[in-house]
Amino acid sequence: MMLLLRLAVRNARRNTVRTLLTALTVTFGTAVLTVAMAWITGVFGDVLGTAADAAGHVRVVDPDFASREQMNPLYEHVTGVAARAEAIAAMPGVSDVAPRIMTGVSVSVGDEIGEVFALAMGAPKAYYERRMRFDEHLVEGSIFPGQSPKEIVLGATVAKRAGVKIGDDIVLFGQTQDGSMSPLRGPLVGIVHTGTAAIDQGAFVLLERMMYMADIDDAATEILVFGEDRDDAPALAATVSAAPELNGLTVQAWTHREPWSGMLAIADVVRGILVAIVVFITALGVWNTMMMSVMERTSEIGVMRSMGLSRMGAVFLFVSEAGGIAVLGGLLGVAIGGAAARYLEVVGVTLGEATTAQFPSDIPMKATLYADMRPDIAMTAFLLALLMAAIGSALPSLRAASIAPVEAMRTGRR
Amino acid sequence: MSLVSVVNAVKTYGTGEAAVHALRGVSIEIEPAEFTVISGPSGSGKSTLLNLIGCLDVPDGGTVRIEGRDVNGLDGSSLAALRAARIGFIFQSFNLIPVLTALENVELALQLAGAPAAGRREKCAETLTAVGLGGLLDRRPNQLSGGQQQRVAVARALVKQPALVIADEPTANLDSTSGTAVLDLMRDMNAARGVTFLFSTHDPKVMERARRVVTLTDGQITADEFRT
Ligand SMILES: Nc1ncnc2c1ncn2[C@@H]1O[C@H](COP(=O)(O)OP(=O)(O)O)[C@@H](O)[C@H]1O
Ligand SMILES: [Mg+2]
Repeated sequence: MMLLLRLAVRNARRNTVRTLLTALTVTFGTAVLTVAMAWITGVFGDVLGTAADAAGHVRVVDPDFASREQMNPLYEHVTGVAARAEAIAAMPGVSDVAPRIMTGVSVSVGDEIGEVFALAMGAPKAYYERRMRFDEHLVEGSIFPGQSPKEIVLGATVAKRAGVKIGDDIVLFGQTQDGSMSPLRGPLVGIVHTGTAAIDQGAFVLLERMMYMADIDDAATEILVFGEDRDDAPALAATVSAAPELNGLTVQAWTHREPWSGMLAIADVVRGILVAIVVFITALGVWNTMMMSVMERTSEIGVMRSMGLSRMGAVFLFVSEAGGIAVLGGLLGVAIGGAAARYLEVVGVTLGEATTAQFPSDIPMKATLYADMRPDIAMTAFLLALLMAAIGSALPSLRAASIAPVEAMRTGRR
Repeated sequence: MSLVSVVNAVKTYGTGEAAVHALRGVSIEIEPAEFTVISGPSGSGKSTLLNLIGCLDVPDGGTVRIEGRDVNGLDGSSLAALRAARIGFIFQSFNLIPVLTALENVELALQLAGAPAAGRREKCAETLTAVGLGGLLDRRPNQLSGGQQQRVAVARALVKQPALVIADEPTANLDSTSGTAVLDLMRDMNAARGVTFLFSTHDPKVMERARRVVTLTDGQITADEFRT
């Protein structure tokens, strides 16, 4: 076997230019795949990750709430929230728990119902700080400084439309769980601008205030659960759903919730199509080279077959030659692609808010997009380089295997 | 038992009007340690007959037996195993593997014959020395003359100690001096090691050295004479 391997290596060096060009084809394909995968992971991860951070890695809701979520039905809430949140917080892998209530309100300065609408949210202060990162996005005032439990924070878009400023006494007009009008009055203490349309369109109060407005006691429509890493959400969901305190409730990882599950599926499809195209084209290059090699070496293969080389031996000879080319080309491709992806990870590509504003409001599009170059992407790209070689050398090596031993004799004829 | 026993072998290439009847019922027995030449004009079927005896191909009719085994009943891998173990080949255009050194070319044959790795290189070096190439073990084929390349081919055929060596016009691509030298080498090997040689040729020099000359004409044996 060692001698055959040595032979394969020397065969690869026979036509150096051709081998090099083939290796460079693999390099190019692998580099493109590395950058593309890092980019897709980065962009989708960024967009989705921000969403997952805001929406909870895992979420606990009433089953009826889950099925009618668009309407934010306040009466389909989870009761006994304090005790349940405490139980969840004690579970392994849980780093943070935040009960949350969301409902539509109008925003005004006076007592009348205003004409500016906002999505109001009630949640613990820690949630606003740690998960919504309001301190990073604060443009004016401060985040729930604690002078009064009635404090209100507004998204920049809402604040502008309603024409309110810090210190104004404002009113959020919403409803109780059974549908009666329910105003919530309080001082505007902060304005945030995140660049994400859905959040800049929001009004934010502390959880207890929202319970008061919705007229539900010790209850919330959602309990958001956070772990160390959002990628571990499915495992976390499995842990959490085992808790007896959550019997009868629905526990969902963000990856299994719309719209993200759909977007993740799209990302997979995009990735899959891209990989298929690049692998196919590169394999074509490998195929071309290997086919030429097999043709040129027909008599040689015949000679070896006459000396007892098996069909598998002939396959081995060409597959390992292609494999060697792919290893070299692939490593170089991962290195080049990895460097390019790393650049995109650090520097990013700026789209500008004019572009991001055109995305639907439930997709929190960022103004600057970054790649995410992970070790597993380099690994995948390298394995794909091997796949290119495998596909590209399949037919040529089968052809080599079909060379008859009499070919050894035929070349003698003139 | 004969080493080779061919009975009424028929081989036809192509079909219908384009059919070429390369062998039309050839029968021949070859005993161990023979040094036999198949002679005949170009196109008379010499290579075709050697292909059948060398188990590179199977006849369309008749039987070919090697050491008593009918090759018609064997599948591709059994034929490959039989060739690897029992038959050595020498070709008109040498057919060494160009990227392997002389030593490696010989070693490849031994390896394909399934010889264990231990002592393999030494054995190959010895064989190359025996054919007079002791100092050229690490040369590639393109660094060797035609005569030297054919000596490597002889070593490659002999190293696995086959029952039979088949050589298809081994001197056709050599000048007469190196052709003669290669022939003498093969005769020495025949005498010293008792290896059976079967040639095809239309070179009178080769026929002079043969002990048995079989003449093929148009796919049929027309003469079979033993010399002393
Ligand atoms: N693979 C083949 N396909 C078709 N015809 C062949 C093939 N091999 C040999 N022949 C024909 O068979 C006949 C005998 O060929 P061959 O055995 O090579 O003769 P020789 O070796 O005596 O010159 C020739 O007419 C040749 O053209
Ligand atoms: Mg011939």
